[in-house]
Amino acid sequence: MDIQGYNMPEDLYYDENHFWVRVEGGELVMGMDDFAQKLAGDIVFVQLPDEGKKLKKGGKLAKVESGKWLGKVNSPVNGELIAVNEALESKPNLINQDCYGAGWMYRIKAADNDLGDLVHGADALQKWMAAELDKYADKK
Amino acid sequence: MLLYDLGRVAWEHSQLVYHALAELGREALVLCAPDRPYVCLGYHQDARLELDLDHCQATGLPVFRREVGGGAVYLDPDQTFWQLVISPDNPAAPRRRDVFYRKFLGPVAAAYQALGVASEFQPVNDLVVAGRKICGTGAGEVGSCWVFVGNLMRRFDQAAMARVCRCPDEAFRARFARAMAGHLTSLERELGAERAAAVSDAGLRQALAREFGAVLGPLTPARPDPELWAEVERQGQRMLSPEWLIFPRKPRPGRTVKVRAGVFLCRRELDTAAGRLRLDYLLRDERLTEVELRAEDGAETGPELSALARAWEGRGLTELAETLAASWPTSLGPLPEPAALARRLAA
Repeated sequence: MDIQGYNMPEDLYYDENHFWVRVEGGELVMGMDDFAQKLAGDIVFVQLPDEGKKLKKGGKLAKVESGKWLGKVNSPVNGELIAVNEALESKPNLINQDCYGAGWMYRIKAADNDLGDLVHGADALQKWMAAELDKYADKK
Repeated sequence: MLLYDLGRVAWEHSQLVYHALAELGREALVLCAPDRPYVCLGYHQDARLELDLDHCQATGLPVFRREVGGGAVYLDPDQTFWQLVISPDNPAAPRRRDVFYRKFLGPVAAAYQALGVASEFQPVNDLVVAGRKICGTGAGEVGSCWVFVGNLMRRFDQAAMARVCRCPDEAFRARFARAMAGHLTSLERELGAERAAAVSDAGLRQALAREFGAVLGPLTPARPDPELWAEVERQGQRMLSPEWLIFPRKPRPGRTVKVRAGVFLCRRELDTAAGRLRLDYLLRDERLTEVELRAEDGAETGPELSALARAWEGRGLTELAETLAASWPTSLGPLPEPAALARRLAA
């Protein structure tokens, strides 16, 4: 769905830092959402940790850089990193070009299916984005 | 907010203190300068790909990899560092990066202006004087804080910067030094040596403290305490280790060095029927400029290659494929796939 110019598919789950999660069978795929990639500008680096990395919900997964800003990516769940998008090593701006497709970032085997605290569904997404747009308004 | 006006400090403390403050979740402005030169890499950079490590080792030049963004830079006591550690929950910290950068580069621009240098903000996060960059910056999330760091440059040793950078040959290194001379400036260059020398390092830090205070509110002078030193020690054990320094990245073909935002010096090699060619150019706002096309050994080119270089001069990356197709001489054999070649020439 389009929310004030941002493409936010309603079938995905979103964490508070604007990373999306898609359930694919027993695995999760995650990436950066359209709101975050547009605000970030050109992504110049995506850290691709070794597969097998144990993940703790809310714990550090990796780092992403754009505009000389090195940001954190936190894990949305407890689990294990099972794959990374190797294409991002040489083309990190795939995230800018196609954040929900070719610009996916990580594939995770979740320890449980608890996505309850992620934003999901049209109504919740609308409400959350309205608050986010207000929070990120151009306040000097 | 706390103000740590540290003056000249051990080179490693000029990086470790702000990392430690951020890890402790302690908001502060740090002002300092290193007691000796060193090289500082951005988080995402592989020291083996970016630097001439043999030269650094032979000359005893320390190398550090910071946990904030930006690229490799030569740092020395002629630069005064400002390092802002601020909580994302602080209402003074804008969430939008463009607004954040503009807000917190304002005090640095004002400090330069108070010294007689007409620096101005240039998005995304540069300060420039008549188009020349006068402030290096980097930012990121460390611990629970946001960190924004940069320097106020009394002078910048461009020759030393070019020397520590890994370059394919000395011609490329000389071009890098020339490019920096054209695109970077300093207090000394703007004011002249005499006027710049009249401003003490303490005066620079005072100007920064005054201008940051105008934006952040009153700054409370502080000295490092045992808790902070213990965290500095912990960060040092982590960040001064060889395991931290070497961050393995996959090498890319050719060589690209950043001169400033939007300006890159590039070397690419082209395999043709006439042999391997060496292509050097300055990519400026996604346009090829100062194009040089030579044989692999650096020998002068004939008129045909000179004409080809002229045809590419000033071309934007988006129009390059078309230009390549139109200008490629038959003597060089089959035309490389233009779109693929154009992608290789991007920074």
